[in-house]
Amino acid sequence: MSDRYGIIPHTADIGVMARGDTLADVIANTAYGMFDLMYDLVDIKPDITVIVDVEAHTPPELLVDCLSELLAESETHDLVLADFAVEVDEQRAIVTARGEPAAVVELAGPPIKAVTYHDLRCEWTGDHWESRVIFDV
Amino acid sequence: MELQRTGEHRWEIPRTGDMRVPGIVFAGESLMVKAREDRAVDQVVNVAHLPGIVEASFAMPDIHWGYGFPIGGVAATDVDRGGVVSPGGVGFDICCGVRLLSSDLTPEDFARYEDRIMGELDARIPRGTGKGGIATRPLLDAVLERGARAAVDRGYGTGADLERCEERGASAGAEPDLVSDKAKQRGGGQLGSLGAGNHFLEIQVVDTILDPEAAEVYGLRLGTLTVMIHCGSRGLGHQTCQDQLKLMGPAMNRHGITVPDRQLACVPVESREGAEYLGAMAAAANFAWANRHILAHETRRAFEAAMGRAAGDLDLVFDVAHNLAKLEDHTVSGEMLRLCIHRKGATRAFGPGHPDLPDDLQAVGQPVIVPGSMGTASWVLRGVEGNPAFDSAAHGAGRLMSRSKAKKRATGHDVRRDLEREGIAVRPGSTRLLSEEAPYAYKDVDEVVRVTEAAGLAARVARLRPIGVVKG
Repeated sequence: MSDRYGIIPHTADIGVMARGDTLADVIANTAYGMFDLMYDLVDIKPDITVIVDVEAHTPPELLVDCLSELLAESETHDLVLADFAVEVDEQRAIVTARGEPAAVVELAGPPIKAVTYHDLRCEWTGDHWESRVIFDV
Repeated sequence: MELQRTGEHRWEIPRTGDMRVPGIVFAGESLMVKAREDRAVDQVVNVAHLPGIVEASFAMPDIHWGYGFPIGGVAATDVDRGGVVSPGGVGFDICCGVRLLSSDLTPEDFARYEDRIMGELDARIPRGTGKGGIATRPLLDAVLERGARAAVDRGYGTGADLERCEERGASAGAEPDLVSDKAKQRGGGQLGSLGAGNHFLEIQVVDTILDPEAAEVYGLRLGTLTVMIHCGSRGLGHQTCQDQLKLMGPAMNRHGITVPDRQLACVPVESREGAEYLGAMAAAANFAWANRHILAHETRRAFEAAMGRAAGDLDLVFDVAHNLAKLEDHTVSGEMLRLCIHRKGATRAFGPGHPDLPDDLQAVGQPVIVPGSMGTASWVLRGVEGNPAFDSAAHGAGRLMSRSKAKKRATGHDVRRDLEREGIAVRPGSTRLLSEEAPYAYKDVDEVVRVTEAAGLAARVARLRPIGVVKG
């Protein structure tokens, strides 16, 4: 668990809520939460870099697309991603993620299959950005 | 929300607001208390808003909170009257399901060869994340097009197995070209793998038979071993659904559709987007049919290697899906309609005489396989005539508590120790994750199937008690 995100309990699945000063920050913190649900990220080395580049019409869809792309990259290349640098330019986000091979890391939680749109939030509250996303496990 | 009890095991949520049909939940008193505590019943109401939905938004006795659809949700839409297809009504794990094998082996056989059997399965059944599958990538394209049949052609299992598979092991209308390159890259190397989470391969003993006639037809004999395999379409299916859901958002706008939950995104079946979803879904389903088929083949090899017996000693009882959308004909208010049946955490349950069943199952109906939790039991039921929910039944015990709560109650080591004390051999992919799948995290499966039978959804045939678990 981390102060970067909180866990949303769910009967069959699990979710993450996060905050950030900017949209980029909240995407980064949510991504961290997503991977921290599956692995203990504290000791993950930033040896391998993955870049995802997505476009979406709304912040919630941008969040889902970033998380989905990161999930796909991690599973395709068998990586644990732990460090996320996010740049947001209007409806486009570029995430530079770093981590190491999953083969050397023990699972700490059930693998996440996908990012759902259920109860999805990614919005400016007037003071900070907040996100809420449920994952299918 | 008003909830009316309209039968001993039937609860109705009357139409209000923009609901197009009522909600109907099949549950006993105790199961209904649980369903109301999480948001599952709200989700039954949301599904009732789908364009073209007919009769009711149904929920099976193992209902619990899902994402969009409740787990245990069944919804049928009228294809010819603008009825929609919703990827959320299938789920990300397209065609997740269960395959059951029977044998003449006994618990004494297992006890004698336990270490070798479990060792062979541990070594041969890929599970967890990022692990490769048994089959090689060149088989992928053929599998997406022809499902388990492609696997048979490559020497996995037998053609006879296909007769005891829903859809004969291949979903019609598959369009492999509609499965994205990303999905093929993500899951293509996972063909012949179990996955993780609540997926498993379990060795069981038939410890109760309630319907001897059906049990004999299914090949289930008291005191003999069965093997149950629960898994789906792996990363390929997950990515396919994710890809399609992204397309659904703008497509809904074009069709003028709104839904109360974005996860219920949908388009008319008779639309370009609807046809494309169903084509991609069928291809991903074919991956799942083949996946379970290949794992069953490897299971036979494991038993053969451990016991020196012929692989044919494990016979296929049936293979069912519990996350799928199917085009089926049903009578609604006296009219035969072409319907798109969504079963999300629900199992098809064709009764006796259904034309889609193989000849040898016509008299007794389709096997309905309901896994419980490791440590308790699983059940085999049979489809019955007069099913009130478009020939659908429960798919499992249903979760009772969140994973976070389950982990707080005991460690994975505690759960493993308790299972082994009960005489259940365990080979986890991750001991740490066992607590999330502990028996106490699930509903009472005996109660779920009792209510399933009492509600007229399916009839109990045999109870299976676990003695060995290979967990993802």
